[in-house]
Amino acid sequence: MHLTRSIQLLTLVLAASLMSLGFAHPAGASVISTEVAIDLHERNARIERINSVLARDNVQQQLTALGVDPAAAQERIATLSDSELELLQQRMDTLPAGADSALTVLGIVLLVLLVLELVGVTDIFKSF
Amino acid sequence: MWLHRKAIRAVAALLPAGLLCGCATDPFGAPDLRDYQSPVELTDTPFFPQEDYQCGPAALATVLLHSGVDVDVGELIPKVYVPARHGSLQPEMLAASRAYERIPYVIAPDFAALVAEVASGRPVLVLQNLGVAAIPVWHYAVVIGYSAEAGEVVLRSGTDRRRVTRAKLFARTWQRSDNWGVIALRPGELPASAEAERYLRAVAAVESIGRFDLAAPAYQAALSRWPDSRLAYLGLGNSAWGMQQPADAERWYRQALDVEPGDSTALNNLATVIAAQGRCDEADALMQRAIDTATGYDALLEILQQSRLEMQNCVSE
Repeated sequence: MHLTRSIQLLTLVLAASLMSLGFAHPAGASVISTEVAIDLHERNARIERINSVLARDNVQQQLTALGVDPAAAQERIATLSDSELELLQQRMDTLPAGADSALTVLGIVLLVLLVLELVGVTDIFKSF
Repeated sequence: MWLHRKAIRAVAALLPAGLLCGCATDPFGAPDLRDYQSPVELTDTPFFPQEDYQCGPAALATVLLHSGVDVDVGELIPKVYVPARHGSLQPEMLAASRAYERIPYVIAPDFAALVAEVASGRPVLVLQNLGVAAIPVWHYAVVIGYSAEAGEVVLRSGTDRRRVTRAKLFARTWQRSDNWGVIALRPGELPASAEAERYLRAVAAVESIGRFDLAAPAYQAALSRWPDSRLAYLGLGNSAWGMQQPADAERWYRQALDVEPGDSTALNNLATVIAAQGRCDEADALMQRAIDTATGYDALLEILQQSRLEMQNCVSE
């Protein structure tokens, strides 16, 4: 299970890093970025190329759909590395979102359940 | 906030054991702090008390301010907060650090690296799951200290300026994020727990967003620690090239080749820089060498052949 997840992630990262292979230059040819060089060094894998422009658009749209101001979303994607961009594109909905107040919510839910249990409305806990 | 936590504890104590068994196993075990004799606490670490889902911006502001960035939480909220998710995502926490000219370094996922950074004076931003796998309560906090004797970890966390957590409990909540921790480096600073590839990856991300001015001193720092790092030379070449300094780029790529003569990536990049200066025959020979060396490496070969195709536009001077 854990291994499968790691392999999936590795594949994602590898795929991501080939999105932009280097910096465009008038001469036509382009240099290979260090990010890609590291991935190539780590694993000689069959790598699927992904359009980095599309990936950026996609992540920007996803962020906007989740309530981020469109102008802010555009700024935010500018400092994401290629592999991070790809990770977000694939897993925006499932990546952990660090917050705090969920703890409060959880506490309230548990309290309510406990009270309901004590006054005889529910029978959740005894069934375990 | 404090009251809620107390309430949760009270409720948890009353719950039948069966309901809590999800967190009974402890694959990480108790962290061994015995190697770190004296307690450390970075008391000068700033504090931004936050509720309402803003622990991401608050934790980020804490480490950025500590590393000398003039920033506050309000400014970071529109940069990392995702309203519909009521929280902040790890890649965006890293990306926002880069926007403030810091290099986010994801530490090795273990207690030794965490403690090494704190001991060297750097607070570590961590992701914890305060709940259980089935009911996750993701939370960003900043580790500012520890005591081996007491078996405790000290954090800036949520509304607590100084939250003291048993090391074993902290290890458990941290383990659920696969021990994810980040420090903010000024360009040119090396982590106390630096691992070559991990560090170069952090710098390469800065290079990939086009901040060659930040990447260059960071690669220089890598060379000071690992003088034979071909990737650091390659990165310096790429940064020089990105800053329109072809002569410097050429020199760095050649140094990468001194370390590893058959480095196809360095050969490709050197050929590119040389072709751009109109030395087409020389560039072509280098590309041929790159392709010959890369035989058997399909992904690399594909890139090199594409590069060679593009180089046919080379105009001799």
